[in-house]
Amino acid sequence: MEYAIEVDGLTKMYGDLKAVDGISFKVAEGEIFAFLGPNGAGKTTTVEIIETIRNPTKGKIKVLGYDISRRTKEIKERIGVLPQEFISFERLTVRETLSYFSSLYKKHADIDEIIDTIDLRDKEDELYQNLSGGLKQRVGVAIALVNDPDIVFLDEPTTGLDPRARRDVWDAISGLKERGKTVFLTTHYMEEAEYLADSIAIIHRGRIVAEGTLDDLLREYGRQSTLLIKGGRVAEVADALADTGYDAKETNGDVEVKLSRREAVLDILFHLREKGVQYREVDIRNSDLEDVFLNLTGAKLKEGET
Amino acid sequence: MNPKIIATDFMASFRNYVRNKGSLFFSIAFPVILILLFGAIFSGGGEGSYDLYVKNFDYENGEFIASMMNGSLPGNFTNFYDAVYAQLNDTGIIKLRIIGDEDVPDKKGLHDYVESNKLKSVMVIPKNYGINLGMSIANENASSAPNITLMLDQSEAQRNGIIISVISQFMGQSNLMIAGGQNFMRFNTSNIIQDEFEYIDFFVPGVIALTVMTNSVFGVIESNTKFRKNGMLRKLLTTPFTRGEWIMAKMLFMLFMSFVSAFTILVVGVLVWNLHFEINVYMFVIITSASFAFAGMGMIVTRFVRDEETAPAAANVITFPMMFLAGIFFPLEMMPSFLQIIAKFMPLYYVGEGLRDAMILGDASGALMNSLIIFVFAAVVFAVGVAVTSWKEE
Repeated sequence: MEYAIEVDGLTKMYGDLKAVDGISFKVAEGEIFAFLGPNGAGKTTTVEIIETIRNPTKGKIKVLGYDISRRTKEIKERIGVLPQEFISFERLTVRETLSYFSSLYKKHADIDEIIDTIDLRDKEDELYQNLSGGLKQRVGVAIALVNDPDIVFLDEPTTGLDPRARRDVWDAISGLKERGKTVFLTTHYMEEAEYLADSIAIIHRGRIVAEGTLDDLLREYGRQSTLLIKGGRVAEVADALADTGYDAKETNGDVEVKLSRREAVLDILFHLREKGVQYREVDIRNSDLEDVFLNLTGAKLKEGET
Repeated sequence: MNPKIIATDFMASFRNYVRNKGSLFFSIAFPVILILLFGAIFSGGGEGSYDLYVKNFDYENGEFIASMMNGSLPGNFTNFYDAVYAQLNDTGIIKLRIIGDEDVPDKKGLHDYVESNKLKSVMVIPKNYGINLGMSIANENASSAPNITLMLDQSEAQRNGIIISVISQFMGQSNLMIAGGQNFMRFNTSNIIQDEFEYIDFFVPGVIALTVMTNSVFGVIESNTKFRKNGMLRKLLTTPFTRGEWIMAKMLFMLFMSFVSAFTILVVGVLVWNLHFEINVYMFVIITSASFAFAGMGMIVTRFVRDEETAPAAANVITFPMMFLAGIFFPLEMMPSFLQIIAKFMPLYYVGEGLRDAMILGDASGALMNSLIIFVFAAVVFAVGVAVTSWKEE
């Protein structure tokens, strides 16, 4: 397999503070790679080192086969970056902005094609400052494409966006993969990683604590799925399941049954019906990356965000 | 260096600028308002009556002429010229000031006197004027009539117009009385070129210096703090755009802005104050050097104060004292001597002085000296500024 990015033993110190602590990972060509972690975990430091705009303290990094310490020029021509909290020139139109950035590179993608791909056609003559947050981020993604890059870096592309705008940006990012780009995405939104990423690395306090596909991570570090029986009585449910080996306990006024496998749901519902247990509705709660993160670090990923 | 990239960035800055009403106001309208305001306050303006100095080389013949006129002079004047003076003063529009023989004994001394006393309008009556006038009337030959000369400061268009109209009217009436309207009494004009300058001559170069300073310092601060904060610098770092190209593009734009502001200020100066100035190589050297020098100062400020809100405040600490102490609004001579010494340590002082020497005073050696001082200062400060401006992230 060809790798777009290879990071080996990367460490970054700021004075005495170890922001990134000897991490290693690889990003395959053509995949969407999500670098997931809470704020301050070292995501941006890492991605900026890979983008050649920060110097590593230690470690070997190759981008598109080029050593980042020596071949920055070649790398810059072939990557496209949307920095964190990026704001472009306020009083240029979308089209002017794209041609500005395009002129900085030797290789140029067709601006009209980018405008269509990112769905900016009806905004192309609008001044950047008049765009909504979601549109600004989409322009940011479009800017990252002007040199037809092999790798696109997106640093927290949906922070601060409402769900609708976030979904639009996600669609734009999914489109990049279809065009054969490698996408390096840093995010602290687990839904974003779940929705977009082919592979995920979870970073916590400067270290990668887990790496793999979403399924790998859920299987390995997720917690058990549970069946919630709403409006049921715990004693009745426990009684109905007495011979089956499933434990029923009460949580928040509902009855919760841990599932060893998801197919067990049918089995349990069958028993409940047979014993005539009354309930309002049932709901299955699957494990998610939040659980994985909690499991791995004992900390919450979202830190108060909703 | 890729000229195409530099040109692109220049154009982007230009578009971003002209679409920003606020920056347009501060770099163009503000200096214009400043010169209009201060010019109006300090240039005097509406005078009640206009002083017209009179140098009469023929006064002693006035009595003889009066006697020849057989008492046809109005009033009880025994000297022809006293009657003329009285008539002119009676208009209430001009006030005659007689230059005595003890001050100016002959024609040779007149120019020095006009110059050293900063006179703006002088009427000169030549020797034997009355006799020559009488002879041409007697011969009925108007073309041989002598001239009175009005020396007028050409920068005083309004005042000159009033004086000329008063004199013309007086002579017209006299001609009507003497000889049915033939032009026996007549005048010609000559220019006074004053070395003494108006406040506006002092102020305009100062405002140009001031505008170049604020445009450059705050222009750099904006690009170094705002573009850092909003990720633009980080974004550009990931592109092939180099630091040298970036600085070059920004400096070119700042230079362009400096000259646009200077041009606007001069146009207003000419239109409103009839400003006279010279465009020469010193002016370009000084404005260019000053732009680099103040840009360098902006870079040094943002090296230490990186925050978008506090950096302009820090810059104000540097620019504000210069604005008031470097002889921009008031000549240095008006300030206490210790402040004058402080002013000599301020780069803006040399910019203002240099521009005055170059554009207004025509003082080539002063212009050269000040150009050199600013050039050297600019070279050092800009080099330091570039050196301390970190482009790559830590």
